[in-house]
Amino acid sequence: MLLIHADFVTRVRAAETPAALLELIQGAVELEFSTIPPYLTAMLSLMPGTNREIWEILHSVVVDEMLHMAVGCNLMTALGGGARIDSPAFVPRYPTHLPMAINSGLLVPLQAYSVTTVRDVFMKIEAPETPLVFPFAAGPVPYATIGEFYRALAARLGELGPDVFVGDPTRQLDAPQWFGSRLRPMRQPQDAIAAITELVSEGEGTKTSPLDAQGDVAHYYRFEQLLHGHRLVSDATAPQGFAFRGAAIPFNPANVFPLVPNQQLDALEPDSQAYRRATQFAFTFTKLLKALHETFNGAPKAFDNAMGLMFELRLAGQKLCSLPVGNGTQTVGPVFKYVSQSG
Amino acid sequence: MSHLTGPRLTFAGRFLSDVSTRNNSSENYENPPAGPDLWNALGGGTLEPLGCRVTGAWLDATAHTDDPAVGYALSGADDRPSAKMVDLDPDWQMASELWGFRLRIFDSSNGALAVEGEFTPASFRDLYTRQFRDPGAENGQPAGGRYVSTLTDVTWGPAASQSAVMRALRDATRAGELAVCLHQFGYYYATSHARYRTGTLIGSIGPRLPDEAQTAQVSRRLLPFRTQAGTVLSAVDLMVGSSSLGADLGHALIIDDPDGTITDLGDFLKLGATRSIAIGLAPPAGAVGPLPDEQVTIFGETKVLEPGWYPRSGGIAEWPLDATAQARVVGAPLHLYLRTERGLYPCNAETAEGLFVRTDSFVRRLDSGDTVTVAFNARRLGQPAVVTIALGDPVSPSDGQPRADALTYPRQLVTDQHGHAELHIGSGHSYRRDNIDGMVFAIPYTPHLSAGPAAPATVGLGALDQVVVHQREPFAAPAAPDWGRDVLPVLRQYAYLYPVMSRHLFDLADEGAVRTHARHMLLAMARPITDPNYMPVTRDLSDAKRDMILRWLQGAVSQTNSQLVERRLRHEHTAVALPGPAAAGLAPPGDTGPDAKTTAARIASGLTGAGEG
Repeated sequence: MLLIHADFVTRVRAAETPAALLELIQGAVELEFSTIPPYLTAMLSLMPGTNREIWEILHSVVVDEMLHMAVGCNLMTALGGGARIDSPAFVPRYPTHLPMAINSGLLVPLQAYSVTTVRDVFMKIEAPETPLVFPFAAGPVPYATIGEFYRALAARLGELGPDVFVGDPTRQLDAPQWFGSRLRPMRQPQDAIAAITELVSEGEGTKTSPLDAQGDVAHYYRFEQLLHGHRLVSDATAPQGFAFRGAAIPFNPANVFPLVPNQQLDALEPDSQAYRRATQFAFTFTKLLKALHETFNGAPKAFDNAMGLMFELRLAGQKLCSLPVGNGTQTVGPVFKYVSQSG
Repeated sequence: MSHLTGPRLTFAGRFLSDVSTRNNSSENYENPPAGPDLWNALGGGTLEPLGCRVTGAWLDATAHTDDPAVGYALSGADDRPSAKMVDLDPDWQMASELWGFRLRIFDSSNGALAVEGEFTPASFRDLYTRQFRDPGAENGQPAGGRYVSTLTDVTWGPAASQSAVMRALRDATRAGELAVCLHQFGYYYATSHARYRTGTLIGSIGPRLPDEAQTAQVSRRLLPFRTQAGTVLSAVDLMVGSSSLGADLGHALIIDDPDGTITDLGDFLKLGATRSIAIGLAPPAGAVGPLPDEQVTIFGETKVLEPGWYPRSGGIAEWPLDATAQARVVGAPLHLYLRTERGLYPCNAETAEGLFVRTDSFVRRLDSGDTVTVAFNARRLGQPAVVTIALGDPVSPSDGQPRADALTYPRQLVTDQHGHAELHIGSGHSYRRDNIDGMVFAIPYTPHLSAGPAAPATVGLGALDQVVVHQREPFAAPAAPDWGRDVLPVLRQYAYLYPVMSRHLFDLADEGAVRTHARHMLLAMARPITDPNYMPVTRDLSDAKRDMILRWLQGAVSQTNSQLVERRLRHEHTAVALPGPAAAGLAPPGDTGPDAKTTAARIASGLTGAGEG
């Protein structure tokens, strides 16, 4: 269950100034970002060239989370602030309770892909307040979300009005070649409300449909496809019009690297290939954070560097995660840690 | 370069060089490739300093051990893709260049910047066998090379103002610039070794002075010292400053191991245990040593065997000179000596007439119809000099044949009173090789002494001191590039040569995959060549062919949905069928013999037939 402290919602509803909202949105930005390393770790555990459909599904969710993060960062800019990304504090140490989440709630690890990971971690991260139930085999399980937080934020922005949009819109990221029309500069509350509404629907769907505002399957149900091994498709015979009876999604568990979960750098021998590759990965990750920080703090053109770094990170990660470690029964896990240099 | 005298920071650590090696073999340019993988088929070209730290802060030839800069970290850029190390072409692998490298020094305790600057792209030079006593050493690459370049767009940060040496450095250097020198050696080839793809890095940063070359140290040079066994002390570059004499001894000294432990040369040559390396005037004619001190004028000496001397000093020896010594040094040939317990042994003599000529940016890419300019710098005893330089015909390394009509340039240059000349090289008759675009040409050059052309070895030039030009073929791009006819032949070759792409990213030979990633490819291929994210990493694609691909990619992008990435939940990749063992995983390096760099270094060191792995 992903529950956040009710205090966050209370504070949103009581916020009177842009500054009061900024800290809260920083938390949401950190939350969106914090889901990415677990998804990336699962992707990196899939051996290159195998389990590609699963990889694509996970990747599509990561891209959406990046977009959600960008929405939050642009909103902070619109309110006259700037997201703090270039900091060790931005990255949790896994396994972790996600930012804003209560400490007795879901503990999110970095671990190899498995159906168990999908069911017990990914679906719980993305679960809506009231998930819709589509026929598969077993019954539904109730979850909670931060959808309520986002809805409260949207409502409060509407109440506070255009006066709080004091930031320079040219400092926001506007990159149509990457995000199309999904990331538009926010100049007034209606822009933010629309972006937040889309964001929530991408994670959870709506109260009546598993599809988001764009007509794509929302994350929760996208993951559920992996659980059942079949795509969610329209099905007139099903009570709510959808069923997990679409094309099979192949999964070969033998083609998954047995990653060390929650890999720590100091668990690796310093004068070893594993350590060097792990620090190279961590440093590339840190460079990505810095490039994103620059992007969302006055230099949107730095996003091109961020894109290049994402490819570099993928290369570094795939090479890292194929490397046996310890007694050879496991491979090195990715290290999402803020480090100041490589080696 | 002025990293030899004046305020200086020295640094040491390791470096990662993930050079890709399929393109080392011209057989891999065939369709399908028929050559070996060699030791790093999945390389991506990354060059990254590893764990480097400032080891010394030097002012007035003295180490300021308490200066806060000592211990600062040194890295590449921290907010953009990594720097790249790139060879020009399979026919010229002896001048690997660094591209897109921004060097940063910072206080790692708080992240505060000290200084950073963009490394002007440069090739390494002065390759020779550093691990001379053990050329078959476990790391696999006994050679070392040196980079000299200029940092531009230099920015100083708060961590510099706390350092007296850095403040002095900032005052001494041309605004926005610094001089930098990197020694690289001890590189590991073995895929199973903990240090695979890494080597040792030792370097220095000093002031950039006016009228200096950008990517070369051109002042005075001492010739290599050879014995029957080969080059046991390589060429030494030195410079007379306003009150001192500085020399890069480090790169010239042979080492016992990949970490850079300086060899006891005296012991190795059976001349007695080494005490120091000394600089002085030339010995009496015919004198062979051991010489007593009374017979030689020595200006300074350095205990190079002192533990940690090399990383601490960056290999730079700087000796203070009083006015008398200054006057003598300026006008007379210098000589390097090995001092052992028995006395002084003359080693490296200065070049004939103190002449030293060196090029800037000697590795060039030339498209049909274009011109490139290579700067020459000439000095006599360190002073700018008017020197005649004869240029030979272009020779293709692939077959050793001269092809006089391949390039257009004068066969003689004369430097001006600033010691400067520019060689303009235009494209000539287009030659090509099977499967590889165009042809590479090496242009030898010979400076003239007062009596006529110098034998290159007498003026400190080696076999690799040539201008090297990759002349690409003319290419007329069709108005509407077609995937199968125009784009695929180019990208397929890259897919074969760089399997890291199809193994880990996407298949460059698959139209669907390229269309899916068209925006990313456009981003990378439309950048300036100096950008670290420039594609192709090898920078070996002619402008005309690159423009053709860019146009096709732009067409592909406008045809697709502009939303980010695939909302598609299915995507099919058909990987390139990778031939041979690479398809099953990293091919073991096997015994493929020495590569081009090792061979070139062995030639430079006069080693023949020594045992090699």
